[in-house]
Amino acid sequence: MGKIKILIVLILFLALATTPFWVNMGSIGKKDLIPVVEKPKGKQCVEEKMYMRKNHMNLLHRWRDDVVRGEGPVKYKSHLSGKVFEKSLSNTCLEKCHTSFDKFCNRCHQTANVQSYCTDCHLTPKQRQKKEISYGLE
Amino acid sequence: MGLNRKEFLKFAGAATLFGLGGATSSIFAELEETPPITGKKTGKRLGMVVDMRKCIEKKNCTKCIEACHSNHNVPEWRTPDGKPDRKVEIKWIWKEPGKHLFPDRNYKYDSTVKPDADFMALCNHCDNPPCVRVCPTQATFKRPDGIVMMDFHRCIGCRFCMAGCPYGSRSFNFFDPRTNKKLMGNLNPNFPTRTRGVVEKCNFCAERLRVGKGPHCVEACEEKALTFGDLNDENSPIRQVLRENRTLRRKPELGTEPSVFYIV
Repeated sequence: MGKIKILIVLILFLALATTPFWVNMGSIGKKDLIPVVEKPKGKQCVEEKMYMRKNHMNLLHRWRDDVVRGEGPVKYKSHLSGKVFEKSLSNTCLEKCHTSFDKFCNRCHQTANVQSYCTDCHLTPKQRQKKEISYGLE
Repeated sequence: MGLNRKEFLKFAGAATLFGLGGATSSIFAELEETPPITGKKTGKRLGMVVDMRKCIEKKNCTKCIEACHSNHNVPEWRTPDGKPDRKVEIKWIWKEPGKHLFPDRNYKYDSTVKPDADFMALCNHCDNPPCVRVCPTQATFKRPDGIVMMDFHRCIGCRFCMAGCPYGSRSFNFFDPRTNKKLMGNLNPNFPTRTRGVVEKCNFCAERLRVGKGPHCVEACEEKALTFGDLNDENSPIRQVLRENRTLRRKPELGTEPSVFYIV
């Protein structure tokens, strides 16, 4: 008799403990969680889309170390188009294509809860045009 | 298992020594293989000569300071009664009385340096920089061309470099510069700001040198009192100035080998 009671309570506990996994089953699809980002204004990125999705932070960190610490050349030759770009977040990435840091970068970063504090220092295109005095969240 | 206690202890001791020996050898191997933190030697050593004879006459001139601070988005923090707040101020170039720059003179009789005149002081970009030596993250590092550079990404704000610098050239961001209204009204769009918690100082306008221009202070000085160039190049204008004039450096006895020379 005691064993059955224990078993019942155990099953109830397991159900309660795994609630996060099954309570939303079927109601929210993975599609709904991918954020919609603003289309960039430029024609072609520095590299191709899937590569950038996986490696954009690695690319930016390498650019940063090359330019600031002098570990590499200051220009970057794209493997996609062969064009030469300046290794700069503000001048190349933000100014030319992703003009709103909030509507492009922050959409995914906030959803994934991966803090990006680039705009704590680097100026966004709107801030550079002195249109707004803010923290880059436009 | 048949092992008695004595044998077990012997075995355990031997195993420990063997294990530790292996570990220490790998630690030492790592230490030997770590390369020193130097860049490729380019043969360039950038330095500056400040001709105080031209500068001392103009008592209220702050052109170099204004050019530097406005172009580098340096915030100005004031106390409620409008005076610069010396405890939290950020300065890349500043005015300092002569007796503070050259403290080892007998100002009672020695008139080489005018003790109360305002001298122009900045980071000396030493050849043997104490700040680089003590930085725990190498956020401040010596470039092959002689500039002692700051990497604000890596700075953790420990201020050890501020303690190490014997010249007081470094300033800490106690507040977020973006909360400074005067700065935000006058932002230079081509240079980033810094955040709260990093140390900053003169960088010899490395971003201008990259495109072949000179530092802001050198260009802003109306009297042309600042000469900037390559100290290792015998034919450069700065070497010419150094050959023709007697110069002083700040606190040479410390062995930091500063690259900024003063003509008094």
